[in-house]
Amino acid sequence: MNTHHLLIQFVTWFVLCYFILLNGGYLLLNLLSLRTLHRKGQEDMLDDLPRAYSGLEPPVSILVPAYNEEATIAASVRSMLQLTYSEYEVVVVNDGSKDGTLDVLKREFGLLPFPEAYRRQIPAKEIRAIYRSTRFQNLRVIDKFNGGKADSLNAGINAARYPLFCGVDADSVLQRDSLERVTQPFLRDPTVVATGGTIRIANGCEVSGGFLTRVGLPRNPWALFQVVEYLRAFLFGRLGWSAVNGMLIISGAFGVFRKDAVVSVGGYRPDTIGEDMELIVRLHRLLRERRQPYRIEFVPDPVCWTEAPEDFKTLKNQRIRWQRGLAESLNANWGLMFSKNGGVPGWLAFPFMLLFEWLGPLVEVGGYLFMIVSFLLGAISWQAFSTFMFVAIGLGILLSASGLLLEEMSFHIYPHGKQLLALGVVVLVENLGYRQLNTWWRLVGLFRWAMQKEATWGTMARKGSFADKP
Amino acid sequence: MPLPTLALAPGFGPPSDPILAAAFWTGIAALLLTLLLGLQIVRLRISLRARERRRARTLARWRPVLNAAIAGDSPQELPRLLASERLHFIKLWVHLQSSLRGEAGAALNAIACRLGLDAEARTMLGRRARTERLLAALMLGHLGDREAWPQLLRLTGLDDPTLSLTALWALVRIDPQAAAEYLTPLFVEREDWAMSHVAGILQQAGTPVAAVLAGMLPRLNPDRLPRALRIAEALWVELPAATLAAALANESIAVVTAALRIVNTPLLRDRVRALLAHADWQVRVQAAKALGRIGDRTDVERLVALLADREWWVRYRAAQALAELPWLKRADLDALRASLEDRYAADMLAQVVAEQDAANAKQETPAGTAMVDA
Amino acid sequence: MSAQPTVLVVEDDVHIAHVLTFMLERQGYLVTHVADGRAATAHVLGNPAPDLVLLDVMLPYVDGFEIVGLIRAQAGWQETPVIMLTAKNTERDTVRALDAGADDFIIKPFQPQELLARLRRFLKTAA
Repeated sequence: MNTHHLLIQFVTWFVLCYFILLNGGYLLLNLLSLRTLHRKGQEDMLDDLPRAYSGLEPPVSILVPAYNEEATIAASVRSMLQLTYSEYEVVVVNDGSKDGTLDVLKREFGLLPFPEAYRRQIPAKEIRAIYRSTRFQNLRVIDKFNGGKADSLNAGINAARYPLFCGVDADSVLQRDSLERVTQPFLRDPTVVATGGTIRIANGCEVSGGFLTRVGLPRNPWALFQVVEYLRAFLFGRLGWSAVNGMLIISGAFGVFRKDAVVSVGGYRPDTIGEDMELIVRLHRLLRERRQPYRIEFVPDPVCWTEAPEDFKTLKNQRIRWQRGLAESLNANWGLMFSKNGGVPGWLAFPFMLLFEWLGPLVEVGGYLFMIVSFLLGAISWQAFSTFMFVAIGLGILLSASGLLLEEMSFHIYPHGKQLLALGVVVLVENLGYRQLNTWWRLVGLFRWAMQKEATWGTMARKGSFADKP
Repeated sequence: MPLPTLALAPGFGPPSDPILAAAFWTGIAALLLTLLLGLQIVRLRISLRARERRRARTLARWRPVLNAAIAGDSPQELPRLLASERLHFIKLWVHLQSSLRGEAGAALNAIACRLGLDAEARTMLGRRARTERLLAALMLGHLGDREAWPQLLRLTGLDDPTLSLTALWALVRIDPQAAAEYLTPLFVEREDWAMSHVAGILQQAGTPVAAVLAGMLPRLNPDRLPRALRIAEALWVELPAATLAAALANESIAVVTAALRIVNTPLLRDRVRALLAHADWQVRVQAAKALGRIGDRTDVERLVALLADREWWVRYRAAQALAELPWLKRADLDALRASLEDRYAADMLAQVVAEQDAANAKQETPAGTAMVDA
Repeated sequence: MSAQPTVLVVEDDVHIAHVLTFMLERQGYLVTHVADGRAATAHVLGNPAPDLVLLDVMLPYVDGFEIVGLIRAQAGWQETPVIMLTAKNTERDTVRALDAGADDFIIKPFQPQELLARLRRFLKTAA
C-alpha cells in the first residue's frame, strides 16, 4: 500500500517537474534570443539606407528541387531571379517530375540543352540533361531521374558553381532582400558554415508574382494555431540556440551553406525523411570530431514564407513526418551526444532534443493520461490534478505569450491592432487542445519510427556505414 | 478497497504537499507573468504607433526643407528641430546624402550645421546607444567633420564590426589621405572585417591606400600577406613585379594563390608557368587563369595539358583561359576539341565553348526582341 | 504648343522619389510617379507615352531592364527618351542599360543639377 502511494507521488512529481523543465527550457531559449534581437534592432536602421555593393559579396548558387510543381514553378523561379544580390545563380533540379514542370520551364525561360561537364562530388541519381536559359544568364535547369529531395539537392550541389549554396523549396515565397539577409552572417564571421532563415506562415498573406505583397493573418483556425506555434517554438527558440552555437535544425525551406563543408561531410542523406535536420546534426558531429572551428547561425528576419497545412489530415501527416525525421536525425548521429569535443551541441542541444522533443511526446501524453486516469480512479486528489493542469497549461500560455512578445519587440509584422488581439486569443486557446493534439501526433510519429526501425534491422549495418562516412 | 489519496485537505487553497505547493505557486507566477507580457505587448504596439506618427510628422515638416535645399533653394528661415524629431530627421538626412552628391550634398551639410547637428552628432558618438552612434558616425562622415576624428578613431578599435566599420567609412570620407596611413595596416590586421565591406570603403579612398599598401608589403608578416594581396586585388593596385615574384616564391599556398590572382604582366610568365605543375590544385587553377591573361602562343600547349588535370576546377579554368586567348578563334577551338583524346578534356572544352556562345548570343539581341520571341 | 512636358518617374525608394518629383515639378514638368515594376508595366500598357521616362534599375517585381524592353516594344512609346538610374559599382548595369534601349544613364549617387541638365537635353529635342 505504501509503495503504491510512493509510486504515485513520484510519478506526479516527475510529470510536474518535466512540464516545468520543458517550458522553462524554451523560455530560457527565448530569453537568450533577446540579446541577438536587441542588437539586430539597432542595425535595422542601416537597412533603410541605399545599398552599395562592393562586388565582393560571396556569390551564391540557389538550388531549387522541384517535383510536380508545374502550377507554381514559373512564378517561383521568376521571383528568385529578382533577388537583390550582386552575384548568384539559380539551379532548378527537376526531380523526374511526372507532370509538365520541365515543359513549363523550357517555355517560360527559353531553355536549351547545354553540354556541361557534370562533376560527381556526391553520389546522386543519374542526370538526364542540363539546360541553360537563353533569357537569363544565371539560370540552369538539371533534369534527372527521381530520387527525392535530398538526392536532388546533392545533384544541385554537384552542379553548383559558387562556394555558397542556398537550398530552397520550390514553393517558398521569398523577399527581395532574403538572400542578402541570410548571407550576412557569412560576411561577419568567416567560420560560419551554415545559416538558416526564419520561416513564416504565408496563409492569409497576399502573394503575387512569387513575392509577398502584404502580410495578413489566416482565417483558417489550423493555420492560426500554427502562426502562434511557429512564434512559440520555431522562431525564437532557434535564435536562442543559435546564440550559443547549438542550433540543430535549419529548415529545408530556406538555408545557406558552405558548399565545401557540406561536401566534406558527405552531402545530404537520401534515405531519411528529415534530411535538413540530419545534415545539420551531422555537420555538428563531424566538424566537432575534426576540431574544426565553425558556427551555424540563425537569421531571425522574416525571409521565407510557406503555406501551412489548413486541414486536419495534412497537418497530422506533416507532424508525424517531422517527428520521424527528428528521430532519424538523432539516431543517425549518436556520436554527437556527450562526445569529447561536443560543446554546446553535444552536451546541451542534443540531450535537450532527445529528452524534450524525441522522448517528450511519450512523457507528455503519458503524463496527461496518468493524471486523468489517476484522478478518475481517485488515486490523486482534485488538488493535485488541478495543480497539474494549471501548471501545464499556464506555463504553455506563458511560453506562447513570450513568443508573441518577442515578435512584437522585433519585427511586428502584423500591422493592425485587431490582428494582435486575435493572436492573443489564439495564444490562450492554443494551449487548450492544439498543443496536446500535436503532442499526440508526435507520439504517433515516434511510434511509427520505432516500428520502422524494428522492421529494417537487416539494413541497419548499411545505414550505419553511411553515417560514419567522413 | 479505496486507493490512498495524496493530499487530504479539500478546498481550493494552496496544497499542503510541498511539491504541489511549489507547482501551484509556479502556476500563479506563470499567470502573472503572462499578464505582464500581455501588457508589455500592448505598450510596445502603442509606442510603435507613436513612433510612426512622429516619423510621419517629421517627414512632413522637414522633407520640403531638405528637398528645397537639394534643388538649390535653401530656405532662409529654418524651423526649430525638436528633440523628438532629431533621430528621424538624421535618418532622412543620411538616406538623402547616401543617394546624392555634389552641390546637393553641400547644401544638405549646410542645413545640418545651421541646425547645430554637427555638435549634436559628436555628442551622440559618445553615448552608449548603438543606433545613435551608428547614425552619428554616418552623419559626421558625410559632413566631413574633422573635429570628430579622434572619437571616430577610437570607435574603429572596437570589437563590434558594424560600428567599427561605419566609423572607418566616416574617417575615409573625411580625409582619405590621412585615413590611408592609419587604416591600411588595420584592414590587413582585422580578419573579421569582411572583404566586401572593406573593399566598399577602400574603393572610396583609392590611390592613397594603394601607395601605402605597396610600401607595406615587403615588410609584412607572412601570415598577413594573403589578406593584403586580396585587398590589393580589390583595389586594382598595380604592384611591382619584384614584389609579386617574391610572393609567388613563397611557401604558403594562400600567398601564392593571392599573388597569382593579381599577376598581370608578361615579366612573370616563367614563374607562372613553373606553378602549373604545383601539387596543390588551387595553385594550378590560379596559374591557369593567370596564364590566360599573360600567356603567349607557346602557352597553348601547356593549357591543353591542363585540360586533362584530375581536378574539375583546374580543367574548367584552363578551358576558359584557352577560350579567352585572343588568337584562338572559334574554328581553332573546335579543331582543338576534335583532336583531344581525353574525354574529360573534350567535354570541358565543349562546355566552355557553349558558355561563350550563350554569352555572345545574349549580347546580340536587345531585350525587346527577346521578349517578343518568348 | 506650351503643354507642360510630362515625365514618368519609376522609383521604389520613397525618399528619392520625393526629391525627383519635387525637383521636376519645380522645373515645370508634370510628374507621374509609380513605385514598382508591376505598376510601371500596367502604366506603360495602359497610358499614352510621356515626354520622358526616368527609370530606376532595381525595382520590385519587374526590373528596370524588362521595363525598358517593354517600352521599346509598346506602340507610341518607342521614341520616348528613357533615362536609367543605375547603381555605382555595377558597370555591367550601365552597359546593359544602353544595350536594352535606354538613351542615357545616371549613376547613383547622382548630382541633381546634372540630372536636370540631362533631362532638359532630351526634352528639348523632343519638343
